[in-house]
Amino acid sequence: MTRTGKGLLRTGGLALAMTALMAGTALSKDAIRICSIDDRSGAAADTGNESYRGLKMAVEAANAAGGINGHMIEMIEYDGKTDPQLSASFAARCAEDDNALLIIGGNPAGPAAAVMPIAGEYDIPFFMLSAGTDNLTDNPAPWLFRFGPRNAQDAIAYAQLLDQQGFKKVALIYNTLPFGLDSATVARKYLAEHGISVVAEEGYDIAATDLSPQVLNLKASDAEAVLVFPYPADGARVLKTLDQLQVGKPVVVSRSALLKTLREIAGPASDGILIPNTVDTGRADVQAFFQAYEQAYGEETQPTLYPVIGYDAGMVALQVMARPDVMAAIEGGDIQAARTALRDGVLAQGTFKGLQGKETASYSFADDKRHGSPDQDWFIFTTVANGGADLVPPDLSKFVPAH
Amino acid sequence: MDKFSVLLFSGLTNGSVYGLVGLSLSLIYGANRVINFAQGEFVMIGTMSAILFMATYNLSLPVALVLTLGVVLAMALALEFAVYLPLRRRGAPPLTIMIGTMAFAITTMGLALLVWGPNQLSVPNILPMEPMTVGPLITNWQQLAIIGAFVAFLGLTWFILYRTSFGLAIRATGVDPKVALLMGIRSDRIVRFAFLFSATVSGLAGVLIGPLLGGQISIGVALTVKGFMAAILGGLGSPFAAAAGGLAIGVAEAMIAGYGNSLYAEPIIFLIILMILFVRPYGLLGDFEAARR
Amino acid sequence: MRSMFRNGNLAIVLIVVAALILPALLSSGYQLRMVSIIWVFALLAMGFNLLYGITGQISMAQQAFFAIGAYGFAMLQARLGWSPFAALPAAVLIVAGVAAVIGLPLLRLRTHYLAMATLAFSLMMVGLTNRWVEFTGGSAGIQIPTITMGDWSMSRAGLYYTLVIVAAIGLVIHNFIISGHLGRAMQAVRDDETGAESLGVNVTAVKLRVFVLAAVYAAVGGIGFGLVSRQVNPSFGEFPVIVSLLTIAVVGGLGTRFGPVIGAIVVVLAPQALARFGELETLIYGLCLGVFLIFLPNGLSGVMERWGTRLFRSRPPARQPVAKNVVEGGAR
Repeated sequence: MTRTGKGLLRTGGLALAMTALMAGTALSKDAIRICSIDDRSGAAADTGNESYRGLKMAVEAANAAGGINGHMIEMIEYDGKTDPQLSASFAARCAEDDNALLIIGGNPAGPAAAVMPIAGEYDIPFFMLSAGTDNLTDNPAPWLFRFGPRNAQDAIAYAQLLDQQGFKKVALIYNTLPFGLDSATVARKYLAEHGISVVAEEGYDIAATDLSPQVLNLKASDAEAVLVFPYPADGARVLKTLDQLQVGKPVVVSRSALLKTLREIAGPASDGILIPNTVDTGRADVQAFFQAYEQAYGEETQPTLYPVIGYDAGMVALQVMARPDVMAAIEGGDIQAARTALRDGVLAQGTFKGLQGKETASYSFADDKRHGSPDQDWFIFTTVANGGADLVPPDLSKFVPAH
Repeated sequence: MDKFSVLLFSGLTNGSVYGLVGLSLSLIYGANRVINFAQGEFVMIGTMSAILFMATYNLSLPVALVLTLGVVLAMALALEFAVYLPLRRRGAPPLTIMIGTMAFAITTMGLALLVWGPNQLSVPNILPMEPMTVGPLITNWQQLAIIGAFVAFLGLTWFILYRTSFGLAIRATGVDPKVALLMGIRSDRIVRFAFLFSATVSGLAGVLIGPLLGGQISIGVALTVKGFMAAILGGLGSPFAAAAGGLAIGVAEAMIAGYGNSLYAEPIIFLIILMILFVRPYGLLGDFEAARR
Repeated sequence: MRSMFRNGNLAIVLIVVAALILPALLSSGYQLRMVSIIWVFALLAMGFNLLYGITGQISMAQQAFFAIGAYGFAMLQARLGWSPFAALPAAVLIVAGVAAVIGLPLLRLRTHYLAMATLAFSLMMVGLTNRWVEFTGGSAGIQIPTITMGDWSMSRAGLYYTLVIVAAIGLVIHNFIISGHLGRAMQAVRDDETGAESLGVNVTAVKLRVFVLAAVYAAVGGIGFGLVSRQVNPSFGEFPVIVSLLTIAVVGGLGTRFGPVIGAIVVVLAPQALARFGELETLIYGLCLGVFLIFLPNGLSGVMERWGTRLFRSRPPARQPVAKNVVEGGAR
C-alpha cells in the first residue's frame, strides 16, 4: 500500500471514530427508524417531492426538539420512481433489512397498491399519503392507514357543490392515465347520487397537442359545467382549449390544478376555475406551516395538500410513538412488538388533529376504518386569480348554471 | 363552426407532431437501417433547452434558438460517436444498435433529470398564443407554426433528396448501400447528415410543441412511440410515407375522438395499425421497401 | 467433466443446488423476495432469448403476455372463483391461444416491423387494462391470494422453492431446445430464412412454435410475479418491463444458455444497489447498459465462457458455442 493510501486510511479511520463518538453523545438512546418511500422522480414526482418534504419537516422538528423521549428519529429514504414494483421491493427492504418502525409514502395509486400487500405480509404499519383510489381502503388491511382524501371524497365534494349551486348536467374530460380514469369513475358514481347527469364524457392522450375534438364535443353538449381530471401540463391544455373554443361554461378542475405548473402554462385561461383543496389557508397554523416550508426549501410554494399530508402523517406517527405503551414497546427492543404497539396506538387514540381540512375537522381511524379523512368539513374550494398566479377564496354566487 | 373541419385541423396539428418525429426516424432508418429509440429524446431536449435558454437564462430569441440547436446537434453527434459508430464497427446488426439507442435515451433522460429535475415545467412561447379566428377555425400562431414547420421540413427534405446531388447519394444508399459504396458514395457522411438533420427536425419540433405540451423529461418516450407508429404505418423506408403515416394517425385519432369514443381512441388506433400491418406488412405506402427486399 | 460443463447440465445442477441452499444464507424476507423476482425475470428472459436470441424474431409483446398471464390467473380466481391449481394452467393456455392467434399474421413481418407491430399489441393491451376499470380493476389492479389447499398455505419460502424448480425446468427445456434439432432450425431461420426454407425447414411453423413457447414462458413468469407481489396491475405490461427484458438480454448475453439467468440477477439487483445514488441512478443505469452493449457484446455469460475456456484450455471447443449470436452477427 502506498503512503498516501495509508494516510487516507488513517484519516478515514479517525473521521469514523469521531463520527462514532459524536453519535454516541448525541444519541444517548437508539434512534427510531422510519421509512419514507416516495416518488421523487417519474410521473408523480411533483406530489412525491412535496409530501416527502412535509414529512421531513415533521421529523426534523422533532429531532431539533431532542427527539421523542430522547430517541432521535432516523429517516430512511427511498425514491420509488413512481414504479410499483420498485416501491414494493423497497417496502420489503424497510420491513426486513432496515428494521423500520413504519413506512410512510404512496402518492399515486400504483405504487401505493403495490406496497400495501407487502406491509400486510411483514406486519409493518403503512401510512399511505395522497393515493386516492377508493378500493385501496375498501377491505381494511390491518396495517394500513390512509391520510389523503379518497377520490370518492373529491367526487362527493364536487357533487355537493354542484348540487348546492343548482347544476343538473355536467361534462367530464380527463387524461387516460390512471389518475384521470379513476377520478372519472368515482365522479360518475357520486354525481349520479346527487341527481346530476353526465351528458358528455371525453378522454385524451397526454401526448396530444390539440384537444379540440374532445372540447368541441363538450361544447356541443348541453352540459352546464365541465369537470376536468388532468395532470398539470395537459390540464393547462384543456383549459386553454376551453378558452380558445369559447366554451363558456363554469369549470371545476381536480387537485392537480393546485400545482403551479398548470396555472403557469394556462395563464389567464385558468382564472376562475374551482379547485377542491383540503388545505384551509384561513387557518393560522396552516399559514405558519407554509411559511416554514418556504423557508426550509427556499422556494415559493402554493398551499397544496401534498406537503400537508406528508407532514400530518409524520406528526401522527410521532405522537403515537410518544405514547407510554408504544414507547415501552420500542424500548423493549423487539421491533415487531413495537410495530404492533404503534398500530394499536393509532387505533387506541383514534382521532388526530392535523393541518388538513377545516379547523373543526380531524382524522379518525378505527379498526374497520383505515381511511382517516372525514367526508365533511374536509374540502375547501379555492379559485385561481390574476392570470394564474394566485389561489384565492372563490365567490360562489357567480358559480351557477348559465341559464 | 363546422365540426368536421375543426376535427380535421386538430388531427393535422397532432399529426404534424407525430409526422415530424416519424420523418426524423425514417431519415435515419433510410441511411443506416437503424431505428432510433432516442428520437423522442431529441424533442424533449429541444423543449427543455428552450426553457433553459429562454426562461432560466433569459436570452434573446435568436441566441436561444441557436444555442438550443447547438445542444441538439451535439447530442446527435454524441449518439453517433458513442453508440452508433462503436457498434457498427463491431458489425452489430441494426436491432442491437436499436437497443444501443435505447441505452442512449435512458442516459439522456438521466442527464436531463439532473439538469431540470422531475417536475413538469412551463415552456415560454415564441409566438403569440392568443386565440384567433381563421375561416371556420379558432387557432393560434403557435399551433399554425407546428403545421408550418411540418410543411417546411417536408419541403426541405424533398428538396435535399431530389434537387441536390447529395440527395441523390442519400437515395442511392437507401436503395442499395453496397452498390452505393461501390459507386464511391461515402456512406459515413450520409449517416452523419441523417443524424444531424433528423436531430434538427426533432429539436425544433420540441421548441414549437413545448408551450402546448409542457416540459417534462419523460415526454420523449410517448413521442418516440407515436413517431414509430407513424413511420411503421406509412412505411419506414420513405420519409414522406412516414410523415403521411403521422398525419393519418393524428386525423384518425381526432375523428375517433370527435365522432366515436375518445376514451378508447388510443387502443383503437393501435388496433387499426395492427390490422393494417396484417394486410400490408411494409406499411400503407411501403411498396418501395417491400420491393427492395 | 469439461463436456458436461459445456453442455450445461452440470451448470444447471450447480445453479439449482445453489438456489435451493440460498434461503438458508439469506437474512431476510426482503432478500427472499428479490431472489424470487430474479427467477421470475429469468423465466421471462428465457422465452425472449429463444425468440430473439436464437430465432432472431424480436417481439415487444413479451411484457403483454407476462401481464395477460398474471391477469388471467388473478381474474379466474377473483371473478370466477376458480382454485389456483385450475387457474394456473388455464391462464397459460389463454396466453398460448392469444399468442398463436396474433402470431400467425404477425410473424410474416420482419425485424423492425415485427418489433413495432408487437409493440402496438402491447400498448393496446395496457391501454385496455387501464381503461376498462370494471373488468380489470384499473390502476389499482387485482389482489392475488396466497395459494392454499385445505389448512396448508404456501409460504414465501415455499413459493421461492417452487419458482426455483419451475425456472430450473424452464432452463432445462430452454437449453435442450437450443442444442437440439429445433434449435438448429431456429438458428437457420435467424441467419437466413430463404436458406432455411430451401433446406426443408418449415419457417412459419418454427417461428410460430417459438413465438407461442416464448409467450408461455412469459405467462409462467407473470403468474410467478403476481404471486410474489400478491397482486397484478397494469404496470406488469408497461414499458419498464420491456426495458428490463432488453437489458437482461444485453447484460446476460443474447443467444447464450445462461444469459437469461445471469442477466436477471443483474437487472433485479442493480436498481437496489443503485438506490443510494438517488438522482444519478437513471444516468448510471443508461451508461452501464451502453457500456455493456459496446464492450461486452456477448454479455456476462460471454465473459464467463471465455474464463471457462481459459480454465480448461486443452483444446478448442469441439462445436462452436451457441454464443455466436445475433448481437455479434458473426464478428467474434
